[in-house]
Amino acid sequence: MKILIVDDESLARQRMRDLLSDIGESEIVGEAVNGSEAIEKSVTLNPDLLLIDIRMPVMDGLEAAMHLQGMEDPPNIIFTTAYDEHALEAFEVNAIDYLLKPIRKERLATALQKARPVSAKQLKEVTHAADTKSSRSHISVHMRGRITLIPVSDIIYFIADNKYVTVRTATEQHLIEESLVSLEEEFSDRFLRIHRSSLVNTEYLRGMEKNTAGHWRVLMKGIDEKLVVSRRHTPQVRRWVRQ
Amino acid sequence: MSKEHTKETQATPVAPDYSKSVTGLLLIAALLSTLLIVAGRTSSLDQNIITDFISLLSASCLIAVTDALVLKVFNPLLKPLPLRTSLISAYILLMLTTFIICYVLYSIFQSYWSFTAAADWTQVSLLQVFIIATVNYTVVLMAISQKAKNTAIRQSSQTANLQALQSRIRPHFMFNSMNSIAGLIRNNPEMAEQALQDLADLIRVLMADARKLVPLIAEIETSKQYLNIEKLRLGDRLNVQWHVQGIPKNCFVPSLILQPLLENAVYHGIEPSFGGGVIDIDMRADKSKVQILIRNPVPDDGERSHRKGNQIAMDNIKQRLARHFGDASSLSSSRRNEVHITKIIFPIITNRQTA
Repeated sequence: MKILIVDDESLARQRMRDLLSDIGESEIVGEAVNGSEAIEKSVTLNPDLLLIDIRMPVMDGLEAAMHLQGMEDPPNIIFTTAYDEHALEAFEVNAIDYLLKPIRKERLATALQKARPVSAKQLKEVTHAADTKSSRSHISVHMRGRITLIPVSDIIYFIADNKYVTVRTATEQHLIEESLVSLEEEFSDRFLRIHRSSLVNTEYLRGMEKNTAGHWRVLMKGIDEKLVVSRRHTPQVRRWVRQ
Repeated sequence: MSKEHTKETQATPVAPDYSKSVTGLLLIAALLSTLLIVAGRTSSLDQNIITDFISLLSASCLIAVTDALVLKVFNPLLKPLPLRTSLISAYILLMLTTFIICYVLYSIFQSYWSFTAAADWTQVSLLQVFIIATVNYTVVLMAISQKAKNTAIRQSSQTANLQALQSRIRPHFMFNSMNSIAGLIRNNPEMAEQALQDLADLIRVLMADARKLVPLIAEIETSKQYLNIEKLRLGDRLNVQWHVQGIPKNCFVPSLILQPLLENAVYHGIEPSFGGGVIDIDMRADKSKVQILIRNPVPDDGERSHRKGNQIAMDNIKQRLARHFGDASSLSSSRRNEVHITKIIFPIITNRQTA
């Protein structure tokens, strides 16, 4: 069994290596220090199992697991945690395996035996219960076996077009299969609806102007593109720009 | 943990423990009941009132001691009973004891008592029995309930201490540290030993009475031990700079005014950040006061902290500073250019007992 160890603390990774080598029968293919590195390495190293800590900087374990579900053949996942009162209950309820730190060798051995994949639905419920944060730190784009992670803070806008949503950063543009409504709901504290089909990151909002036809458009930092503001959303956008 | 405690405090009232020694109180009760009985007889004002009083008092004392003994003996039977049944049974028991003793005494000293005002046993003595038994019973119950109350207060304050302790130690920190130490044991036993000692010292301070004053240099030591453990976990991500100037050796502060603030700095400023950062502690004293500045980075928006502010620690420290130093102390925090600054000012006191 190919294992990827994910923990931001080097001593915790060291201990996991020691325990796994005691148990034997597994091969450690790599280590990662946070969720986004875990995703990168999962794609390149193709592990069978991730032993992943929940609380990590940049991207936590729950979010990483969530992004990995988009893979064609996602790895099995066992979470590790020192203490997460709320998440643990949810793990139990949703039958997701977890290990409590300090990790016991016997407990780890048993967990390895029955490691299994987790579903997006299970993860959603746990994330909700864990109450760590309400929104993802990254958006993942799955393409030909690769996963591209886009930090939400880099995203300038989301524009819906039929089935897909265009994600635009200063340098890139991607298509994702998510609904604008759910994105709006998830990122309501950082994104503003300016049109039936577009959400903009308020951090990038630079100003608004009227074109010759009398329609309002917003100017965004980092791109030259001007986005149409619908009549219905004009007052709200104007309020934001004034601030 | 807290669930269990609520359960405990909500438990149905149980019968009191009658075995608790109340003999002393019962003797006072004996005096009281004697006074009551004699006062009831003043109408007869005969010359033998003093003899009468003394004989009654000795009888009452005998009853009191026997009552205490009886309660102790019957406690195992009384205690498992439901509260009401238990109390009534105890009362009947005391009544019986009193009656028997009075009857025996009356039979023995009939000739002697016959010349007192109490001519007939049935006329007066039943009243005496009732008074003595009731007074004794009331006193016993009062004593027992007071004791139970004291125990309850002690228990609840222990619970409160425990809860305060839990709010002071972040469980996440505790278990992660233990995991680190477990990992170190086989690879670097010396470092594991050091870490375990630091952790033990830290827990000892956390468990001690937080109202107590400690030397500021001891608080600095505790803080350093705490940061050592964090350094073990966070490695290069945590960097600490201490600038300590002119702190008098005998400067006292409420314990744990610094460590929780550093814990906040690590929790909010270092842990959520990929690259970590520097925590800078600047501590200086002039003739009359000490100023401490703690600086920690604020992780940028991309690593948006998913951690809620820990106002509890701030409020707690503020309260304790105010209790000891009044208006002369202050605790405030501000944010400037991605740096969070916490500032504490308090007067130098050189005596543990002051304020």
